Amino acid sequence: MKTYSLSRPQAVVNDTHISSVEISPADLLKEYHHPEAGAIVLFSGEVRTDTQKEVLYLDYEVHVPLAEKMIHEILLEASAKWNLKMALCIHRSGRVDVSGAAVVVITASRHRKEAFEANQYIIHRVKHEAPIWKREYFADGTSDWGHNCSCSTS
Amino acid sequence: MKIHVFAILKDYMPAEFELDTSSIKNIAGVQELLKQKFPAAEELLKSCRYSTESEMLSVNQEITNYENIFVIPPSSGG
Repeated sequence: MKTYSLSRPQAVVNDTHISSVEISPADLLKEYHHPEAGAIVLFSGEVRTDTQKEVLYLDYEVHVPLAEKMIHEILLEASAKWNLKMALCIHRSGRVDVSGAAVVVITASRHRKEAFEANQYIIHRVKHEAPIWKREYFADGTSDWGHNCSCSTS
Repeated sequence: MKIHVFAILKDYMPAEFELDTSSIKNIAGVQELLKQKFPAAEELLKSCRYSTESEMLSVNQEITNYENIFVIPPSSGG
């Protein structure tokens, strides 16, 4: 488990945000804690199939240098806005099977309100802004580029 | 100038290609040139962003010093 000095004033933000290998949310949660955080929130965005058309897997294309930079900036902004103790975001590139983790966001703060709000903010911005695209591969042999998130932009 | 595109844009144009931008001043000009060259992608290009290797560019950004421009279609990560 990583531990951090209490004298460190700024939030701890992870360094690498794009991974070409499997992400384990459980391992990340075991590893990332902060002694001043009373709340840790983990979001894992996982590949799901669909009742209408069976999905086998997703393949993520990433403009890596720009995505790394943009995600890091989003984490720093969220850390400052919600006074986080720690912020992490790792997104996959390449193939992710159904029930696999495509993206993990972990936020840690003194109290739970900030950790929840910051976590939602981070994943919303990453989904809408980071140069990452998914292609869905279906059981019927076809594939299609994923559509943008239709969730609220507010 | 070398243009790099991603994702669904590759259904309309090569992943990388050279574009003669000698008469183009800025990113808005690049966008117009791409629309002329690939008219089937016109609607999609309207919603694209543009970047260097590691920095987003505004439509007014002058392109004189850039060798590579990346065309970023709407994201679908997560």
